[in-house]
Amino acid sequence: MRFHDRAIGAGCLGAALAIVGGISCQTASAQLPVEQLTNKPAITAKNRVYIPDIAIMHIADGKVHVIDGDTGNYEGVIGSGFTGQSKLSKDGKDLFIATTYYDRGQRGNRSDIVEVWDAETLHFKYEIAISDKRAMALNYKWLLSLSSNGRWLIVQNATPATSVTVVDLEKKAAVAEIAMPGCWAIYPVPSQPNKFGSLCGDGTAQIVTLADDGSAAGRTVSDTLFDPENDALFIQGEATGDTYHFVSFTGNLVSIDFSGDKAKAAGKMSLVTGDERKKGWRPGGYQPVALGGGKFYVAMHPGGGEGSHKTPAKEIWVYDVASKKRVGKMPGHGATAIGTSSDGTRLYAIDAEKASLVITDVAKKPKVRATVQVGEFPSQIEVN
Amino acid sequence: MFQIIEQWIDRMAERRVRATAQSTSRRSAVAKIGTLMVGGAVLPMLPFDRSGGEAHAALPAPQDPTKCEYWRNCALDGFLCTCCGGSITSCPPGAEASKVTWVGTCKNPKDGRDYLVSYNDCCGKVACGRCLCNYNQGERPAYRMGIHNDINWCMADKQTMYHCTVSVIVGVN
Repeated sequence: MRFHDRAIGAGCLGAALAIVGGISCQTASAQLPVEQLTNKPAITAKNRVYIPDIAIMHIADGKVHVIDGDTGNYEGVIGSGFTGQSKLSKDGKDLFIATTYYDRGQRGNRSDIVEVWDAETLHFKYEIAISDKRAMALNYKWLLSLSSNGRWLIVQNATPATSVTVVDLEKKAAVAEIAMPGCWAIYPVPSQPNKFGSLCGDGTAQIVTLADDGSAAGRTVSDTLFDPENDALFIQGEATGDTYHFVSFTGNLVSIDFSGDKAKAAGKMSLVTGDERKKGWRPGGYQPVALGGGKFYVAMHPGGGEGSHKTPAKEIWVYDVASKKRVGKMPGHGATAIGTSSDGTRLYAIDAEKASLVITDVAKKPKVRATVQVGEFPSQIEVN
Repeated sequence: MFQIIEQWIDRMAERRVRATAQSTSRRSAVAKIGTLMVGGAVLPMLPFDRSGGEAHAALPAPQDPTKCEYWRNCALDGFLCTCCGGSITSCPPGAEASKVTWVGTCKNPKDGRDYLVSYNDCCGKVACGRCLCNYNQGERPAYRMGIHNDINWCMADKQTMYHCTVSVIVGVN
C-alpha cells in the first residue's frame, strides 16, 4: 500500500512538472472497481464474415475466423482441424465444418467428420462421421455445399479419384457416396434441392439427381461448355437463380444454367477489351468473383499469362448484372478472395499478402470502411 | 538484451525477406523490404508469383534448388523439401514419399528442354514451414486432378499429414 501511494505521488509530481494540461491527479488515482468475469454469450454483429484459414505453417490446426462485416472487429474463432472446409446454414445459425483429425495431432488414427457449430455462440453442437475419402484441399467455395432446403450437405471427396459424400442432416448421418469421375465442386440447384451440378475435366458439366435415400437417382452430362486446356474455368462461380456465373482464366464470363435436365450454356462474354486482353488483364485468386447488390465483381491482374491464375488482384472490376456492362474499377487490395455482404452494400476482399480483410462500402461511392489482419493464410470468404 | 532483440529481428527480417525474394522479382522484393521496415511490424508474408507466370527465364537463380525460382518448381505449391532436410528427389528423414502426385512441365533454361516433373508430397510429419512456394505453370482446377496443386497429395497415404514437396524428373519432351 505504501508503495502504491508513493507511485501515485510520483505520477502527480511528474504530471505537474510537465504541465500536462487536463490531467487530474485525482482522476489518475481513482480506484478501479472490482470486476466480474463473464463468458461473452454470442456474436451480435449483423453482418458477419467467416474466413477459413488453412494455417499452412501448422496445417493440422486450421481455423475459421469471424469478423464483423461492418466494423472489421474480430469477433471470434472456431478451430477447423486439418484442411477443413466450411459452410454456413441458410439461416446463418449453424456453421458446418468437414474436416480431419488424427488422434495424435499430426499422426495416429484418422477421423473424418462434419462438425456442426453454433455460428453465433461459437459453441460446438454435434458431429457426424463421414468417409475418410474427404478431399484434403485448400479452402475453396463449393467443396462443401448445402442443398437449398437445408437437408443435404454434400462433401467433396478425392483419393485422388473423385466422388462426393452425401450427408442427410435430418438423419444426422452420411447416407451415400456418389462417384464423380473427372468432375469437381458441388453446385446446388436452388429451385431443385435434390439436384446438384459439377464441372468436369473434359469441359462438360454434370447434373446429379438425389433419391430420397441420398443415392444418385439420375445423372446427365452436358455438351462441351468450356475449354479446360486453353480457357479453364475457376471453380468458384456465383448463382442467379439456377444459373452459375464463372470466369475463365483468360477473362471470359461463362454462365451455365443447371435448371434443366442437362446443364447448358447460358451466355458468354468477354470481361476485357481487346487492348486489355493484349495487356494480359486476367482474373485471379481462389475466390475471384463476387455477386451482390446487382453488381458482379471480378479480381483482376495485368501482365497475366499461363500460370498467373492465382495472382492477387491489382484491381477489382465491377459489372452491372442487368446491363452486363462494366461500370467501374476499384483498387485490388492484393485480393485473392472477394465477396459481398448479403445486402450487397459491402465488398469484402482478402489481401493475401497482408493476410487482411478489407471492407469497402459500395452502397454509394466505394469507400474503405475498415481493414483488419486475419489469421495466416485466409483464402475464402463466407457471409451470413 | 538489445543485441539479442536485434539479432532476433534480423533473423525474422531475413526469413521474411528470403521468403519474399523467393516468390517475387528482385525489384519487388526490395519494395517489400521497405514496406516491412516502414511498418515496423512483422506481417505474415505469403508467397505469390507476381510475375504473371513468365518470370522463370529472367529470374536470377533458376539453378538453385533451395529457391522458389528453381526451374523445376514451375507448378509447385508447397514447402521445398530442399529446405526441410531432404533434397530435390528425396524426402527429409522421417517423412515418406506420397503414393500419388501431380505433374508439371517445366523448361530447363540450361538445355532448353521441357521436362515432365513429378511433384511428390512428403508425408506423415508436421508441415515443414520453410521455403513456401507457389508457382502454377500449366496448373488447372481439380477437374484436371493430375495437374492440380491446391490439394494434399499425401491423400492416398496411410499417414496423410503434409510435410513438404520434391520435384522429380520423370520424362523429357
